[in-house]
Amino acid sequence: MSGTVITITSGKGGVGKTTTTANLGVALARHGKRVACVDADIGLRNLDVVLGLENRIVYDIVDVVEGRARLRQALIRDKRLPELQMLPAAQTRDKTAVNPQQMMKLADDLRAEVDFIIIDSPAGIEHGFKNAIAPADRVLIVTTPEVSAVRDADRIIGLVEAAEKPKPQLILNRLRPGMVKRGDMLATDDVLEILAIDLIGIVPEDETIITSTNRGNPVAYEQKSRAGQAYGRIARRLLGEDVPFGVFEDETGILSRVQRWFRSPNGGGGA
Amino acid sequence: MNTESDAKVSWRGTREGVLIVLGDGDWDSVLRDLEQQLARPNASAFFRGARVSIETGKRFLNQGEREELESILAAHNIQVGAMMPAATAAPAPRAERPDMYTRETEAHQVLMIRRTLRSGQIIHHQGPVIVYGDVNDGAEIVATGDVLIFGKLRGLVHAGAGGDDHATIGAFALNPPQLRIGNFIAASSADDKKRKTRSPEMALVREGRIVIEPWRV
Repeated sequence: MSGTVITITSGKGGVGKTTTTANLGVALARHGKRVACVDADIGLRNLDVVLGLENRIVYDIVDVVEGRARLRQALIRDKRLPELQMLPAAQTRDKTAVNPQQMMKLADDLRAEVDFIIIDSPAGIEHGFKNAIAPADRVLIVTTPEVSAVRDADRIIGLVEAAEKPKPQLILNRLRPGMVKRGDMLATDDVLEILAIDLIGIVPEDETIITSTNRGNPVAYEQKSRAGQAYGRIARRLLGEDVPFGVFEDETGILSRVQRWFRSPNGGGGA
Repeated sequence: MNTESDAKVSWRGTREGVLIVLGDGDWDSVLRDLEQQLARPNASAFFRGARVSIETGKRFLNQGEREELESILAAHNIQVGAMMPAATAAPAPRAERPDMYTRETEAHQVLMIRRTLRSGQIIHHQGPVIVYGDVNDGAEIVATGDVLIFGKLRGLVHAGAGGDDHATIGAFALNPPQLRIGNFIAASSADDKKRKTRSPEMALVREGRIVIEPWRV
């Protein structure tokens, strides 16, 4: 069996590509799949921090491509979850250090080792994006419900179509149901109407993402985290399961806060 | 080399701002003439803060020419709004749009697009354009003829880009940031953005401005 390459991209920066990559990696690995997360953001390395593996880096993607290290030497295995490995980006080079042909070769080598290769694309539509997209079997577009992010996602979808890749699927990130209800945020349907691609997951806004990202402990490890559960559902959909899309309630809404008080007198704490 | 008079660049103030008119000479000499004129001492004062549009003579600019022109103007801190070829014939000065009229252009092919135009996808066509799909925010169509969209318009469309003010833009829903027909430009207001449309609409020029009406064929 040969592994599947999934590229996570968005166009706009800061919408959650790296967080998505890390959490889908963890969620798929928790299903017993062998996963390699690849940081294609050469020069602006991030994925290692989000996965909590930054102090174990010896070799990086450029070392592998340029033949200074073997793939297995550069891959870092997560001690908490042995199915999960990461190939870090080089921090000292730039996007032109790797070309699309080299990325395809690298992905082919990884396909023999693992079930899923998740590539974290850099923001933008230039060289780094082209590297990330070149070996993709599936493309997941991350967007937030903001007009600027949706416009960039639209641009990226056009470029993915032009590259003759399969139709990308959408992850709608950082949705705030309360704001949507008040008409202050684009609703899921609005975004889908513009982008006209299939939805693979909705991730609600969740403050625990910030602490988990800083600590290098992806929320997909947490059973209680709403975002973590959402990533778990996306992973199951990637594995071919038919998981229904639920309706999110806003945790910060007054009603839900009152309900939580009733549920537990000490409530109000962690989600 | 071309004769001097062909290559002349001139500019004048209009109600909308400043219009730079490019002569029909060879492209390089037009650019040279533009640079010389901009280098004059009073030129920069004339352009300060003005909305600048460009009439490109009988030519349609390709991407490279457009960028050359923009870079010269940018060097003088001039931001360009519209760029359009000169009208081949002034449109008939009548209030109502005629049911039937001829356009003084060569025979053109209709461009059919059977997909959604996404952000960053740009179509330039001599003749009419029909889109079976949406035209999204960030996409752009510039056509010398009509532009009919069997989908929603959220991007930028310039119909009648050769100066044909009788051109129309039709769509199932018109929600663009801006509409351009012939030599006219209309920007949408904050109220327009909230407007929900339920039936197909068309935009056309009536009495000197762009109006949106229910699409009646």
